[in-house]
Amino acid sequence: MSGQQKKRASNWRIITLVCICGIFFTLLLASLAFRQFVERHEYRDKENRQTKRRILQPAPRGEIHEREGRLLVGNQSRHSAVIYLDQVRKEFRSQYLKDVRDTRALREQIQNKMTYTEVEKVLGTFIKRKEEDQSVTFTFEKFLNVTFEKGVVSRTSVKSSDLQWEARLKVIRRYLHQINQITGRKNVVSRKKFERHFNNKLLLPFALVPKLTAKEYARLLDQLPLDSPIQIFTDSTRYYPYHSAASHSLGYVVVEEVEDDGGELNGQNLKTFRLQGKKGKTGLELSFNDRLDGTPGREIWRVDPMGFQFELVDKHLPKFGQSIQTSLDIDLQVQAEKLIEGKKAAIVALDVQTGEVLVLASKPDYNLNDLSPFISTAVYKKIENQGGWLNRATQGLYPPGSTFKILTTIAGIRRQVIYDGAVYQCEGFEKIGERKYPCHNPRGHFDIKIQRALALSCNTYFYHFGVKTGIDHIAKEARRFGLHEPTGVQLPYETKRMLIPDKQWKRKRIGEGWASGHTANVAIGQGDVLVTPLQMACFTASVARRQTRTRPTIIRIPDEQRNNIKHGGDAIGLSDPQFQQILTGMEQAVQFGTAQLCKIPGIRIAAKTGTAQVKDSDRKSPTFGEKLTLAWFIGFAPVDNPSIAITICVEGTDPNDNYQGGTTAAPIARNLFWTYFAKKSQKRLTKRD
Amino acid sequence: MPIPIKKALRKSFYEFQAPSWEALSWARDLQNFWGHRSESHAELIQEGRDLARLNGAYRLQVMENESLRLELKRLEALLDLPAQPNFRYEIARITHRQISTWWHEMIVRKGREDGILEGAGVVYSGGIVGKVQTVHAGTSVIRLVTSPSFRMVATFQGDTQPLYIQGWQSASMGTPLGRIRNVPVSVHLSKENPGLLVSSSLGGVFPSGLHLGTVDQLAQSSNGLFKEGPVVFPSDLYRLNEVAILVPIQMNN
Repeated sequence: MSGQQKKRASNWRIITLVCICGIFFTLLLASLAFRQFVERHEYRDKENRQTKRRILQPAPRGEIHEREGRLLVGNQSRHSAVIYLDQVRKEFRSQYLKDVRDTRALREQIQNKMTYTEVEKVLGTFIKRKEEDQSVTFTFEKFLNVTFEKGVVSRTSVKSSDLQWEARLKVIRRYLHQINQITGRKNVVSRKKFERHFNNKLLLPFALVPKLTAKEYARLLDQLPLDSPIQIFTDSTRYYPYHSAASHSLGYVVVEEVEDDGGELNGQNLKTFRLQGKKGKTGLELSFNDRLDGTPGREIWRVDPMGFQFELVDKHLPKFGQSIQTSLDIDLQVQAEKLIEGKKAAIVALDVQTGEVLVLASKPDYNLNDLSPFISTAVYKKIENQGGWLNRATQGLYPPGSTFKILTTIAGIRRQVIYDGAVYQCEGFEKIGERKYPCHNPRGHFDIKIQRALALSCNTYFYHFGVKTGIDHIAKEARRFGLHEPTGVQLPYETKRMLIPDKQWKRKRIGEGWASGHTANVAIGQGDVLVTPLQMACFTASVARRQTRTRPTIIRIPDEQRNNIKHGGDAIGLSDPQFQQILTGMEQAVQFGTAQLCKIPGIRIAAKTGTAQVKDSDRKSPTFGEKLTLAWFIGFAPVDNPSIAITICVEGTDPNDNYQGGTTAAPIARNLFWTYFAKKSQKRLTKRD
Repeated sequence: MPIPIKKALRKSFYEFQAPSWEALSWARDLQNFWGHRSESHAELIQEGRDLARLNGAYRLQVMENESLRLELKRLEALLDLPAQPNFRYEIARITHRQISTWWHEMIVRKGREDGILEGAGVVYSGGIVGKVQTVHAGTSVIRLVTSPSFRMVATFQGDTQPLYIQGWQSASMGTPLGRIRNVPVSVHLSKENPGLLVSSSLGGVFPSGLHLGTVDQLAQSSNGLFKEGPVVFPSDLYRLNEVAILVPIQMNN
């Protein structure tokens, strides 16, 4: 081949090589561009996941106030002594190196062929012993393992991870000792607890003393240097200035890790450490959890390969939750609870016009401060044994007794069975079918009209006219007043098992037909009728307003909306004279009838008492299966312009308890009416001044 | 340089430097003395009268305090309360002040030889001054309440909730300032209704009730949990000549 040809061939090879290199280089560039531009997000995510950590902090919950603005549920500080582990890293390291040096020095003293006795002289007694086939390994102080074969030392070893953990623990225990010295505590820290925190929550402070008393907090602040790695960590816990007042309505919170705020918080793909927050468990705390719960705070940290904090990348402060103002009047609430202290009872007081709940008391109850920051098993069991968890006002189901006669009257008047001239002769019993149904007055009430029948609570009058009206109409009327369904008050777990029995229900549930005797029982609020005290309070407020429904609310209605409240439902459907008959009967009950123990001179009160009988259905109760009495009271005042409706239900707890609406519940109502009107007059006087 | 030598040098520096500050302080006292010597008889008589009146008032107050102390003792015995920590007051003359951005300190003429202990509280007639930071043979360094590296516990007068007080950067000629933290959000203060901060005995350094400063504005803290705001300390804090060091009697024993 000539030189020219050789050169040409060589050129081609170079060109080919250049082309190949060019292609590879282009591929390389393309791949680089692909990585840089197309897969950029994926790599950034990977980098973020590896190097960034997110901390979610709870936001302080909003407060709960009563109708005049007084605090019912607030936040108070809770202090704990913590240590930030990244601040003691150098100490961990130097302690570890020191321990390694010490162990090495000890190890050098142990020589092969030494006997156990000789080793024991140097290292002291062993901590752990492990036997294998031919050998026994003893673990001594400083995690020095010495293996013996045929009675003499065959080898020595050290487990460095154990040594490392021990060094870290030593540092932590040193700081804990400092706290113990200042506070006089005797706290200890276990390796298990420390290891768990170190492995899972390295970025969060390690709690040395989780809950400091005010004195301990003060001592640590005063006596610890400001630059100490021990810091005082402050968070908040729920605080209830009125202790057990309105406990069922207010509810309580439980500790729960902070949740992400539905995508608003950045860094959701990062490894997240969550501090403990709070979540409503019952009452208003649960119903308004979303409103009370603030927006959690967020910190994003860049961490080093060990997982310790390196630099703060992003920080968002937590936002305070919204506060709510309830309609509760704490003065009345406290007074109501005082009046039924030691009893099983419920009291509900409503603002007649607005449906605002002024009082919602249920006893037995619990001190909310005992449930914060957490509920101990002992406290839980104590409340359970007392029956304190049940909110009797919204969850307690009771036959309404004679208070139901108001509804029977309305049904009878609307059915035109009961009218002003209708006179009934009460002989002490009413014979329905073959059975005699007794009146509570065995001598009878003689000639009696509707007003006196209501005032004296004549049973036979209502047996008679109830049967004449018919169960269909009574049940229909009860449903018209909403007694068959929950009231819809903003409290969780309101019962849905209330019952207005009728023919269809009886056939469907019991498989029996309906008899007139059943109607007679329902007419006086006995039999299968079951309602809650809150329902009866709504019923009372509705009657006072001459309407059929009251929509109760436990949230205070703003002043500008108070005159424009629609409760739903219809007008009561009675003419003025017809309604006046009921009013007169209820007023006479207070003047000379069954409710006269609630009489207050100068205040016109309309009321109806009731005494019902129930079988004790609590299997744990010693009186299970026995008959207990229930004392009821419903009433409103003033008669000409009603502003407050009160319902009281007191449960008998012993068959010997002779509770009666007139003697047990009416005096309680009198005290409450008195407190309410006295406060109202006081306000009026203050305003005038 | 080896650490022990460094430490020895640092210590000896204080011990050598202290006499010069002390000498300066004595010279100032002498200057004041001669200044007073030159005052006229009439002025001295007037001063003497004022002093007599003041002494009379103080005598009355001492008697009142004594009867209150006895009453307190009687009530404590009646309720079987543990005795409150007792303090001995060691009056000390200030020889030197160091007010900079990072620390606010004073050096006094009393030291280890007078039984002064590190961490002891320091007060004056207007309230709290600070705490003893370092004790040398004949001198002590006091860290002032206004020092950013100082913190203590206080309460609002009439309240028991312990609050966090920390010094704040303030100029040597300006108003002595601090910060109050962890105030419950239910506390509302204003210029018309300021809060008076007093010491709390909970921390074990100061007796309770000593005046500390006033707070007239609070804002929500950065974490939203509490409120915080500036504390204004008495304006004469940087102009003191003498302070009293509280030496706990139990500690001293």
